[in-house]
Amino acid sequence: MNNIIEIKNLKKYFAVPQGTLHAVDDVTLSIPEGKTLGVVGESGCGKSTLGRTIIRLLEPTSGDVYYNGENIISKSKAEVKKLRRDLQMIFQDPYESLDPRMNVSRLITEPLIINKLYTGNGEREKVVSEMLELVGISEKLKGSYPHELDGGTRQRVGIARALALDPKFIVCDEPVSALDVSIQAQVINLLQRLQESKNLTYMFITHNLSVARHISDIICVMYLGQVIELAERYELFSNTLHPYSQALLSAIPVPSTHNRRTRIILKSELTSPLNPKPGCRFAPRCIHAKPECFEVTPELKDVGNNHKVACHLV
Amino acid sequence: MENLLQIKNLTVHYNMETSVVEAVNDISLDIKRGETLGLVGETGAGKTTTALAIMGLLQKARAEIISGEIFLNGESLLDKSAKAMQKIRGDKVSMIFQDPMTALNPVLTVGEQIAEVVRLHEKCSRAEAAARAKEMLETVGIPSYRYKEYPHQFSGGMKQRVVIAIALACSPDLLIADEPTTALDVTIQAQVLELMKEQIQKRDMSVIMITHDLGVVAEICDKCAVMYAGEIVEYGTVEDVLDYPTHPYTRNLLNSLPSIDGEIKKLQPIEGAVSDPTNLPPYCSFQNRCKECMERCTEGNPKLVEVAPGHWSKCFQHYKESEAEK
Amino acid sequence: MSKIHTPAMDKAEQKRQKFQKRRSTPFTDGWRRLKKNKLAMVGLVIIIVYAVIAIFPSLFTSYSYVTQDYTSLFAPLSRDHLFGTDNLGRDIFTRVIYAARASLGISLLSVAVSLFFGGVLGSIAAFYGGKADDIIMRFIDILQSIPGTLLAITLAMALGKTVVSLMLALGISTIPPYAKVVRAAVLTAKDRQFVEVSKCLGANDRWLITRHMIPNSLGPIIVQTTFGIAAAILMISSLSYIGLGIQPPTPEWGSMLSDGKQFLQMGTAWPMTVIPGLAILIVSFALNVLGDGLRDAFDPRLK
Repeated sequence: MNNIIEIKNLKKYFAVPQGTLHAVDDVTLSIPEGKTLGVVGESGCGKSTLGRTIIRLLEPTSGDVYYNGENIISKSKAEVKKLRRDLQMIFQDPYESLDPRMNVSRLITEPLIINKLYTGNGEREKVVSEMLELVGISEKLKGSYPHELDGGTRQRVGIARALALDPKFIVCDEPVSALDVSIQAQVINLLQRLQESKNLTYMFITHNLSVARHISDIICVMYLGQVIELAERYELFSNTLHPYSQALLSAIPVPSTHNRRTRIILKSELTSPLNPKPGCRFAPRCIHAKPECFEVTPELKDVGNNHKVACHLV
Repeated sequence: MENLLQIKNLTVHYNMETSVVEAVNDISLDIKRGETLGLVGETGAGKTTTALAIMGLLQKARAEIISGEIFLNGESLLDKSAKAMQKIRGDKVSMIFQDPMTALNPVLTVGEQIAEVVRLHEKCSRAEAAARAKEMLETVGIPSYRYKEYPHQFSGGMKQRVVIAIALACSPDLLIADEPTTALDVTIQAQVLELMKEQIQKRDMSVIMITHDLGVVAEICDKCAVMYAGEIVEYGTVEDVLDYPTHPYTRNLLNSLPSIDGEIKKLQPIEGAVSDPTNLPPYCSFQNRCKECMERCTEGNPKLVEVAPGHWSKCFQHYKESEAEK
Repeated sequence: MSKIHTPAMDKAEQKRQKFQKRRSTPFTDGWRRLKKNKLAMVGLVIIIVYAVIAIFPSLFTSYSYVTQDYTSLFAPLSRDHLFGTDNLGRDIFTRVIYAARASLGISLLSVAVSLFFGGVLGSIAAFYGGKADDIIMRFIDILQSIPGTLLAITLAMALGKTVVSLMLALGISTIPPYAKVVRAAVLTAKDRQFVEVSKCLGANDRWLITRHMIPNSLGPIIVQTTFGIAAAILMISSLSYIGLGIQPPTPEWGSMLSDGKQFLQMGTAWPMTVIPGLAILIVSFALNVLGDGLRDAFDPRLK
């Protein structure tokens, strides 16, 4: 299968008063066409920065991103603007991501106007109606303003806006995290249906491992800017190798009183990837850490079954 | 076991500019001493309003208690003066808020903020209060030398520990925790839940755990009440509600969650959205989203029915065998 | 969804639709809140009356503001001369009415000048940040550190005693508050996520500023403009009072006050000062309460 997106040694550093923040540090990944790559990790692990850098909403410090074999990073701003149509993003907060002064119909037309698409008479209205039907919003809500809609409907509007440009690859940045549980499932099902019908490729960023497992084909776990484990979903959940992934998995509260898992409680808290020293970034919190872990940065190595892990102990 | 807190037929409305939000509608709840109750529901289900009503912290300008009574240790809280409620808050009843970032005063050290609560409610010297505060910091897993540090020097999880220390400082009879771990990362949430579990077991304290996360309920609670559109739709032990749910909403909700193990199946979402709280129908408010609704569901609002000993559910389905009402 | 259908459901649905008929947009919501504020509505009515008088002064009086009638100097209030006449026998009511035209026109134009320059400078500073922000805001700080009245007087003297120069003098000296308000508003709007979303959809900088940031920062800008008009009216009167503003024989409240002050000792000449004084007071009061009302209506969090 061909990879629609290939990320090679991507780095994104931010200069902050205290030094350099290695938000994304040497990430290499590829996403096959029509599949979903789940990116999981806790706040500050660089997952959102990664998503934004891939589609050049942020300029990377170094590294390359290939879209269908073309290097996106070396392209000029004007060329990127053309590519925008193919590479879209769905955002987390459906309350903040819609302009409160625009109604549904205008919100969906906006991307068409910006990109000068469907200029013919009445064509845009037709596209709006198509999009509304596609994401399951009643025509009656065309004139409504965002504050009149519930969270799920707003997120559908956000999805419709991205889809209006007929993209091939969509970065979904925590698209269901701000939604109520009963609405989350609606949006997840919608995203899956759209993927099937339009052969979309997703990068699905989330902190929720159950959601990641449900929607992704491949899952990568990030910790402080680096990918520490990468595997096909069943493999990752049945054969979790990295101590951090294990702890993350065990920490999820399960809504049932049976099959309680033994919980690994990590010591201390997440630090930030500020001026990192060599060595495993998880070592200070790791219960299995050896002296070596504090000195040598572990490589992401293949342990078979397309399962990669960055840990000295594996 | 005796009842520590009793809520009887509580109804709270918010009077907005052009409409009335029916936030809490005729709920009754009993919480026994030493019991942890999970109050579960989605945004706007009325969880926080219930908590604020117990605390006497409802916004006076907007909120109106239409009916109902709240008893703590047999004393009616709604009859108490503002001053009397002040004495109770932080002492007998205390609350943990969702966002630890805004719950702490940025210009006071964390130690001072704990000591402040102690001095407000107990006659003791400054030094005694400081000693108590240090002790509390250690209790929640923060070394006491950090007494003199300011909130911004703490991470989110540590701040929430400080908030917990403040809430527990006067050994309350009742602790209300409003989504205490929602703003935290999963591994930090695990730490904080562990801490809360430990403290709940150690102290003979009742807890109301407000959350939208059924996993958290399974983790920490004894009893569980599921709220929908301002009403309690199901109540029972955690085993009853999570493992043998009877109300269609609870069952649907559990089905709409992606699971962490087993085969991956298509999710079964609850279609539609919650009814507008300013315009609830005169019948079952879940009817419009319910896959199992019957003719009868639009004829009136069902009452909670005891489907098994101690397990209540508010649905006409249970009326089949007996017309028993609460 | 549900397979059943009952009359009770229809009834609930009807009630719901009736309830939803009222359109709710950010603008109509603000207007609804403004309408509830009685004092602000009084202010609004006064401003409307003032604007109508300023635009159509001839509808309200049959006299001309220059006609002098030496047979009735310092006439008292009467049916013929509602507010009496002045030292040259001119009808004070007529002059007060025609004076509204000058102060409204010039204050609007001067506010337009400061809003334009302040708006452009403020939005550039906020949007591009960094060096551009530093340079622009230091320039604004310098401009603001010069006392406004003095700056206006100096500019008015340098540019000559024409209406255009008065307008420019007022406009330029009041740029700083507008630049600061616009900058703050755009900075807030800039960080909102829907701006990033539009960027992701391919929008360029101009689109982001004009379609998203400015429309979403209109609230504070409108409020500032309302207060600005009030301040400009006062400033025009002050400048005219000291002889730098509107030149005679065109009537202006400030210069009328100034004319009247020499006859203050004469008991019968009181309308010459009191009437224009009251006019200034009422209009600036109305604009100020309207401004407060608008601020509450557009930003209810501040209440």
